[in-house]
Amino acid sequence: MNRLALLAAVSATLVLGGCNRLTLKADEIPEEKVFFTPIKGAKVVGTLDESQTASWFFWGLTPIGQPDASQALAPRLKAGQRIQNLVIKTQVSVMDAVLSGLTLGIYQQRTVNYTGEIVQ
Amino acid sequence: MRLSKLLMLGVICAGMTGCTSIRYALEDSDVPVSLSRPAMTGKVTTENRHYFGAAALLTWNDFIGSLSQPIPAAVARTTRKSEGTKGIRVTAIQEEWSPTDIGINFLVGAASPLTGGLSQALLTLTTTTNTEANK
Repeated sequence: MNRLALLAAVSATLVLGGCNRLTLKADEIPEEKVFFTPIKGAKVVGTLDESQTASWFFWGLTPIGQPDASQALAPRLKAGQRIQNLVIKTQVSVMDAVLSGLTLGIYQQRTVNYTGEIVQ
Repeated sequence: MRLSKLLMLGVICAGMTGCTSIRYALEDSDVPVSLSRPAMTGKVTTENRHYFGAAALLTWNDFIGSLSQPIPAAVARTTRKSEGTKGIRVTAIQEEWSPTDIGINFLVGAASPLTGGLSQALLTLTTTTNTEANK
């Protein structure tokens, strides 16, 4: 590898390290409400299927929107209801890829999907 | 935009769909694992590096799932650190291209004979999962 390539590699590492950071916090979700595991003795009353997007400007360097699990999950629950078998999946959707492609990566977004069972 | 360019963009976008997909789930656990706000009872942080192949069009996560499933890894680590725990809270999840990922991705891209260094034969992405054990 020549000197220019090495310099480019080091520069890219320094500039892009930590880019496209997606942070999913659960700060507003009360305890004992949302579970990745099954809840013993609970009766399934519905299913959960929600999506959010994380977005960035300038090739992932500047975050402009981050997912909030409490906003996606809490509105779906009535009194006494909980969520079990939660699956969170993050990926690039068709629309994410189109937007990124059309803007040459200046704007990027990533989709966060929440699925699970609502139980009483 | 010409039809051929539009077609190429469509093919690229369709190919990218679902790329660098990461699944946060738990198939089996001895203790209940919840997603909830922190209670500040001893935070455990688990890092995982995820590997994606062929310009990220092909997800290798399913192939090497045991190495790169963040929630099972975080639960196992938290259980080891807090024996006899009655439950585990996942309080935050983070994904990013860490400096190590960028370094790996750059070197692999530069060395990729298939792509001429223009795209990646291998991509890596790092996840960080914060957990706490219920006492």
